[in-house]
Amino acid sequence: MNLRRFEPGTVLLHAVLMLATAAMVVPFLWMATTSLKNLTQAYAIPPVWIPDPVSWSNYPIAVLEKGIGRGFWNSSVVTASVVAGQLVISSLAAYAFARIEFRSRNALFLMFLATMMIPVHVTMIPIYVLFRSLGVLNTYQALILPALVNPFAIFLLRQFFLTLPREMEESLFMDGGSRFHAYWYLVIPLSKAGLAAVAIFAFINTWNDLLWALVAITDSAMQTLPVKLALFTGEYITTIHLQMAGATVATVPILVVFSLLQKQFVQGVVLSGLKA
Amino acid sequence: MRLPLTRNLTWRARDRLAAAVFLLPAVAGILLLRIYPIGSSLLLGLTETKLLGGSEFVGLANYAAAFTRPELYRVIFNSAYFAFGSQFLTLIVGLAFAVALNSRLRAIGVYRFVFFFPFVTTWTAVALVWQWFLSTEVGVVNLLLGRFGIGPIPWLTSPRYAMLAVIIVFTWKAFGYKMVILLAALQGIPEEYYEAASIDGGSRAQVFFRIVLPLITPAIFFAIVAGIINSLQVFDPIFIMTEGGPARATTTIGYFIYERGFRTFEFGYAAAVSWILFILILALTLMQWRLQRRWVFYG
Repeated sequence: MNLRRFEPGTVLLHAVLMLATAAMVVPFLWMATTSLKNLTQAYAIPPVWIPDPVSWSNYPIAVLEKGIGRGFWNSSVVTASVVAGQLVISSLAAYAFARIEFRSRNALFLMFLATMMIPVHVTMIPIYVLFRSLGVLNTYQALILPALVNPFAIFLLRQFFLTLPREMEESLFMDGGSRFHAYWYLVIPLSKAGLAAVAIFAFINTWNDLLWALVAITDSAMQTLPVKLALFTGEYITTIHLQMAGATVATVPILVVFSLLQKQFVQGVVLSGLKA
Repeated sequence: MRLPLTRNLTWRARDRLAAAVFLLPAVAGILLLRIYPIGSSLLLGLTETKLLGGSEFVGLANYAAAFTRPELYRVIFNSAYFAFGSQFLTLIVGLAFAVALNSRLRAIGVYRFVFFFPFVTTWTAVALVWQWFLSTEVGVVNLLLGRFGIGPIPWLTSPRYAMLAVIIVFTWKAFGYKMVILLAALQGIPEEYYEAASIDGGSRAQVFFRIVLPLITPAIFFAIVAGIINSLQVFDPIFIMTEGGPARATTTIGYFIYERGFRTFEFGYAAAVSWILFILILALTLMQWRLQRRWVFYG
């Protein structure tokens, strides 16, 4: 007998689960449908669920006139750079920690881990002051550089690399190969899952970042999407249908990426949670 | 295939060189963007920006001000309220759904997707929606509650309910993360344990509380520690939905530091408070590490 399955309670279980599913989905449904409403329908009470007429023009207006397009572009540039940068920097460091033996290896690794506990607020102000004095504020670098440092990604990849067998690398060295050859031709191709997890975490965290993007960028031409959306409320309080168009634009890329790579993401979360 | 430059080095030296090159970007990054800022933040906490530009050394005045002005105590209280409230709720809800999904449903993939998805979305997007849902007069939440004769509750406009509203929205968005971790832990429990329990004649509740729950305490521990560190820094939903109000009711440390640093530009004071936050997180984490011996079961 399988103790985990409730026979009579299965119906109840499904009812509860479906109710919960509704609670999770309704806000996004409302976001998408409201993005296609006109002004009057957006503010209608009781709420209108199916827009009629469908106001497709909300999107061009939000994207071209309200800065959502600009925000999308900026977010994309920053996010792509951070994902690529983190993959390269973290995998190189993780390889060194996992495979190469040198004197201060453990101490150095511990130092990396320790920095994970630093709240973003502590580093935020000095980095702002530093960047300001270097004249680097309001640039892509200001957003990309701080995000390249990710001890968690190094930790994750190191765990992953440690599980790979050493024999192939050893035979490569005997044939005269370098560490870099081992890294690039042997370890990386076998680490798709770990690299995917790092890429997904980097994508999600960078795409969604608000605080630092808000602080480091004041030039509206350089602001990222979350910032554009957040500042939307201040200026245009009465255009919720346009706001929702912007919100949908911000959410769809995540939906796509997550749908395609859900398995890797969940594996990454589990890997970090259970091995830590 | 060997680089000509390294031809005369021993393999050990070549290895160390490789390590140095491989680690250079990461170490440079850590030094410049983590280590240096910690020290700089500490020093900044000892200064304050002058009205006409530049900064002056004020010693421990910022820390003194932090401890003597009543505002920080309210802020810390808010942060504690939020942290414990949100962690408690996300844990209970996350665990409940992890258990529910562990009963080998066919649609587990769909449910896991739906419950986890909000966690990866942008706060600005969902906070805007919830701000609308929680509107006192026109919000869906109050409309629903009205059907049951409750309300209308001034969710975001009353100091009494505002923080609760933020906690609820946060729980909605974030419980999926704990659920995924706990579900994986539950799925890691071998079938034999359940079989042995059924042979020994345990009821479902007994099995759950005496066997299953202790076995997943490591995962619970990790979820709580990570969750508290994260929730003490919460900023996004507060910035969008309540801006720290009404009447400071939702000003957490995270929001407070932002305000003092980038609204009123009191860099020194903000840096001092950020260090207080740092110490708080360290202390709490240390405390939890010590306590884990009492309740975390490592088979």
